Amino acid sequence: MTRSSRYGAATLVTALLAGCSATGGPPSVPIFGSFFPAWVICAIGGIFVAVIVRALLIALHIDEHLPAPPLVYLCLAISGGIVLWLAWSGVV
Amino acid sequence: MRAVLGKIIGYGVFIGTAVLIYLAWSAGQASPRSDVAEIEAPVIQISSNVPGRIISIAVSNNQAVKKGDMLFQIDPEPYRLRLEQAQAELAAAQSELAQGERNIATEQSNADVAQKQIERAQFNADLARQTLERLEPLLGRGFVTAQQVDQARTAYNDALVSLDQALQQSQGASQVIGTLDTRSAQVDVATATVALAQRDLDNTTIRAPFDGIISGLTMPAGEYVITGQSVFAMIDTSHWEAVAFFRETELPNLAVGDSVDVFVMANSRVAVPGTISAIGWGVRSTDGATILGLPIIANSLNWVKVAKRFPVYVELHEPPVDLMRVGASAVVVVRGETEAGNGGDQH
Repeated sequence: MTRSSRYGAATLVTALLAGCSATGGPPSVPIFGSFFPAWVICAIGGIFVAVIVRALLIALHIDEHLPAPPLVYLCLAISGGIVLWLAWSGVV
Repeated sequence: MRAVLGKIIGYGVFIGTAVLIYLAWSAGQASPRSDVAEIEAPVIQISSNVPGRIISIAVSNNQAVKKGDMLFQIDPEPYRLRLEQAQAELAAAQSELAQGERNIATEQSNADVAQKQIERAQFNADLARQTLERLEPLLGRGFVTAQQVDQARTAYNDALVSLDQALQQSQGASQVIGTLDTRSAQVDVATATVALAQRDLDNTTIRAPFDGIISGLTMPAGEYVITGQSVFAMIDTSHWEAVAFFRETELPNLAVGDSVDVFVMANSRVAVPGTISAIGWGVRSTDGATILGLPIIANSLNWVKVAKRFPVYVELHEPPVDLMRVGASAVVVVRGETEAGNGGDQH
């Protein structure tokens, strides 16, 4: 249990580093005995990216000047997920 | 200042998202992937060619064997006895054949004797005729009696009858000479029977038809098996392949010869290289079922239909032995066409 959860955490981290490899990581990730598509993990990562960026922008007082902030953060989550996925699959 | 920066960041994020969505879409088109895939290998049922009791099993379940290794042994005793019986029958047929040859030789010499009898009868007839011809002119002049001429004529007629008999005898003796056709055919039959018995005896030892792994062997020795009855299965380990089920909408982006990476989920960090060897041409549809000549039509109306999936067969190049198990989950990612250049249109 702990081994596979550690492995799951490790794969989340390697998602950020997978861009280095030529072939990219596997499109499915085993977590607790189930295979999750890599894009689900990347989408969750994208939401984390959006949350972090939002905290950053609020701290920098840019948040109140954004046009349609919910849309911006939604797009940030989507694009963050896509960047992670591209890195994971070794495209970039 | 911050207002301008906020606008730049906001609109930049919109544009960036649009660009990234396009990039992700084209990347997905260029390398279709399927997480519905399995590792497969040819599996055959091992059975005996001849019926009999299994007296020993030389392999154990899940054991790797080489081509030609002995798998199990059917009791050879009845087959050995049958071979001996067939060999004895062959010997009998051969002796019959030899006897037949001797009989023919005897009949031949009888015919020769009869032939000689003709010659003898011919000589006798010639002598009797000459005697008669010599005596007849002398009768007129009174040198011989009529009695003597009659005797000579009778002797000549007798010799002619003897010649006739000898001719008929010789003909009969020649006709009586038999042939060896039946007996040699019997020898052929016996020879074939010996070969069949030998083959059956050889078939009591069942050997591995290829390099592979024994599977499903649960019985101990002692079971009686009939011809063709499956004893266990054997996995051909020289032809591992991955079967991936791709959506029909992804098939245009695939082509036979495309190189792929196969990730076996047992160790998904290892990418096994492979090549698409075939794309399935048909799957059975549950919508098209027909029972007793009439089709069964589902009456529920589905607004959203799920794309069908077709099997795509991937030949694996030097797969890691420890990961190859029949039915293992895998993910297949198409990497595009190979240098062979027979791939389909890719981005």
